[in-house]
Amino acid sequence: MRQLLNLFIKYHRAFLFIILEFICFILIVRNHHFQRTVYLSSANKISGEIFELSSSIGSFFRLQSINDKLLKENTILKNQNSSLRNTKDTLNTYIDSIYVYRNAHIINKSVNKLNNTITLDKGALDGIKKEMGVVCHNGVVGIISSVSNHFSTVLPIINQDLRVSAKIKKNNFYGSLWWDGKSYKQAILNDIPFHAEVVKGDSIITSGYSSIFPENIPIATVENIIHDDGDNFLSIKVNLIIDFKNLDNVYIIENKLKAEQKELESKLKND
Amino acid sequence: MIRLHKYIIHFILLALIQVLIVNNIQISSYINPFIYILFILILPFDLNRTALLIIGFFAGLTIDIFSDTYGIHAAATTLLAFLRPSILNIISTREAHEPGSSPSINTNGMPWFLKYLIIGTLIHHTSLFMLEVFSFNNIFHTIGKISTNLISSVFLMIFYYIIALKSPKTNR
Repeated sequence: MRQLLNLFIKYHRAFLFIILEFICFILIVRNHHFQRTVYLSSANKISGEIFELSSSIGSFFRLQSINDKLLKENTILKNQNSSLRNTKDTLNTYIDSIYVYRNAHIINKSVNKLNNTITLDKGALDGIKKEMGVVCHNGVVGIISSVSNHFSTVLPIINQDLRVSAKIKKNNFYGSLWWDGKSYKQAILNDIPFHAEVVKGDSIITSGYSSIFPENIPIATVENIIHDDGDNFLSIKVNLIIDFKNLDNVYIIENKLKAEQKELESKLKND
Repeated sequence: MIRLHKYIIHFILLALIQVLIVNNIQISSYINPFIYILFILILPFDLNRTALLIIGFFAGLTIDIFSDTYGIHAAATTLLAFLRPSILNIISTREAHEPGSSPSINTNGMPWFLKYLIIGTLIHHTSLFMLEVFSFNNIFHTIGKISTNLISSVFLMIFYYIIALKSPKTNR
């Protein structure tokens, strides 16, 4: 016993080192999943406040260009609104929209790591929940991964942990879109059947199967097709529509019927 | 103990520069330098090794919290803090250092300091980027990342050192 104690005293630094590294590895492995702890992320209170301050200073200098962008977006939305009003009148039916949009402002983001994240200035008190979709005015951004009272973090498409269900607009073949970690402008669309006709420039949109994003939101355009011999599926390299470096305001999508859909699907699994 | 506040101020400064400025340098995925490790490298020679380990762990954890990396930085800085006494033993020519002194350009000379920085940064970056990809699949991509970041990190650390730390010889 005494020898064991002596051994421990003699090598206490090595033991401490091993214990600390062990803690680190537990942290790394446990947080390698889609669900992450809020406390040790940039959504926690202190780091959130610091990032918000730094972002508000930065955005002050970009106000002019942001204004221009918002004006453009406004006009597009107004046009859409009036045309939709016309269609609604002609259809003469009332369909309650199942998707609710909330706008949010990006206060921190990374684009050059393997597991990029985005932090938003809206949190649980604004009605944000995990696994809501995030889009911007022209395309898909990502999915909410953790939420604190005032902030939330997003797993963007350019994070290797995220798969998004996507389809080719012209022929409805669908597959899963993931990021290969190389360029923040490009991603890979997998699981497209071999016989699908795809050419450069085809647009890739959300499939609407995941209940997170509505159908028909643009994600990317086809760049080139990778044939893998002996594989029954195509891999397609796509150019993302969103420029993640130049992204400020986003919209968070809530699907009001998601709980109902999930419940129905889980019932099916249980039977 | 008198100079403890100096190291705390440098840690806060380096951490803020790291998370607010350097992490936002987005030239390419290959350039993503880490300058906060300079804090661990400039701690005094005669600092207790156990304290060094614990300081290293918490310094890394602080950066982890700000950059959503969960323990990757902490693992790398703990390794660096564990190996720092051995690095100093291997590359130091003199046996004894003045009590309370720390590695510096003034007392140890530029070539020695540069060698020390490069070895320390290499250990940190290698473990960091290997942990980040967590595989040997794209080994050449990872090695490329380690070397480009090694150069940019050392360059930025020297830059910070000359601006913020290098005081006239009378001060030391």
